[in-house]
Amino acid sequence: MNLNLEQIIALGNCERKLRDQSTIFGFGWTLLNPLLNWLVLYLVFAPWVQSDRQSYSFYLLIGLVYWNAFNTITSAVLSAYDRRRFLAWNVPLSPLSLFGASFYSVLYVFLIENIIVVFLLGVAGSLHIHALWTLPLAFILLSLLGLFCGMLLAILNTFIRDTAHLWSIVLRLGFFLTPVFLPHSFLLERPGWEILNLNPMVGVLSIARSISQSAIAHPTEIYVIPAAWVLLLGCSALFAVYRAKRRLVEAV
Amino acid sequence: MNLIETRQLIKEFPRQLRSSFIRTIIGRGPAVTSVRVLNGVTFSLQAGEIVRLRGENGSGKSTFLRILAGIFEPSEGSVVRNARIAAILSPHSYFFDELPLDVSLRFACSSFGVPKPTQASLITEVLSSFSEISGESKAFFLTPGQRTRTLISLAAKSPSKVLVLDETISSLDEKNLGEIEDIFKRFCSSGGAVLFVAHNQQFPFMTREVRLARGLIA
Repeated sequence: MNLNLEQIIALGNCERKLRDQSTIFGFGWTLLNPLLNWLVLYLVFAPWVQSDRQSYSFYLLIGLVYWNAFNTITSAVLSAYDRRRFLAWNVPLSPLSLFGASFYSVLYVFLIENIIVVFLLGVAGSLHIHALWTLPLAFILLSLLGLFCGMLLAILNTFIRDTAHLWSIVLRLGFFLTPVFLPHSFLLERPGWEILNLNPMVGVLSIARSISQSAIAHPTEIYVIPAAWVLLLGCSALFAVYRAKRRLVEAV
Repeated sequence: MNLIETRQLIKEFPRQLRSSFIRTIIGRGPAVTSVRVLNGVTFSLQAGEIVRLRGENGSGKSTFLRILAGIFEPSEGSVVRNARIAAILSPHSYFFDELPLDVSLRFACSSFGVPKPTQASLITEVLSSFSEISGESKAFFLTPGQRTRTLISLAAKSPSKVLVLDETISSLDEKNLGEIEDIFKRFCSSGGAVLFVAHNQQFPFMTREVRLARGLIA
């Protein structure tokens, strides 16, 4: 089965419309949900964080948008075979087409959220225009990270059905061990906690937050660690798909 | 010319899924026992043929069609595909009930290899035969017979040269079956071929019948 780009886009559009229920409110809710999370976390943590309110509000917003995107992309790709087992069983589709369609169906929301973040930063006068190039880089790194991680998990999930549940626990833990809402200094500059810098999301979030004027300068490792993870996960995922493709459909 | 050719096709399914996963990924692991469904099937389909595949339940017909369509890979033996195949193994799998019909049909067109610029006109042409249904209607409202007829019409006008159907035409009434017969004949006269699975019904338009029993062509 060869990769069929038109088939991936057509299936991705079906998944996207099913998710939004083809309604404006359904689509609006997809965008509104992270904003509501942002509001709640901001009201709880802003008084506690020792930095100015505006800086923290954008720190939190970018953190939530990127963490939610990672969560959504990995979960969508992970469950691609499970949700579409009837399709995989009856329509000639390569595993990469199913993963690609699920990935494509959630990517547009992340893209729109990035545009909204840039717009809000611009309106608040906090946009660091010379660092704007870092946002596409963070977007690409996170998207690939989510896709490759989701592919590996999807293959595992096809054979070991508890993977999806275990992954939701890992995501919950990861939310607290990644500087999404907790300040970078609070989480990563404690003695013995430096190992958390190996978390690829730390680097991706730092790169994305560079577009805010209040962002602190970061060492070059912030580019190297997520890029290395993308490379490692990408090679592993493609190898696993290549080895398992024969068994994937039979297993669903 | 043979549009499809299989030689000594064998298909085995592992019994222990988790063990087979470890063996699949790292190439070694605990021994896995398997069930043999196809036991050396040699078959060819030529342009212009309308072939019916028969066999008892569990004889391996659907597995054989899935191998031809490229959904399963054979454990042993070879499949030569000299033409693009449009597989309609379960018409329902192409339809997303909650969405407008044209969204599902675009997916079907893409799966059958219809180029994107011609998809809209082809869908309109096919749907014009249904007075009560348009592209905006929810796919949910299509009956199983209408789904089958729509997909076969699309597949027959696609670049695919082989139609593979698994028990999809058995449920059609006489009128629809007459239309499908016309579609098949036009398709085959332009160099295509049809392979379909059906049980008890009589199909006077078929050119050959093949019987599968215990994983072998009888």
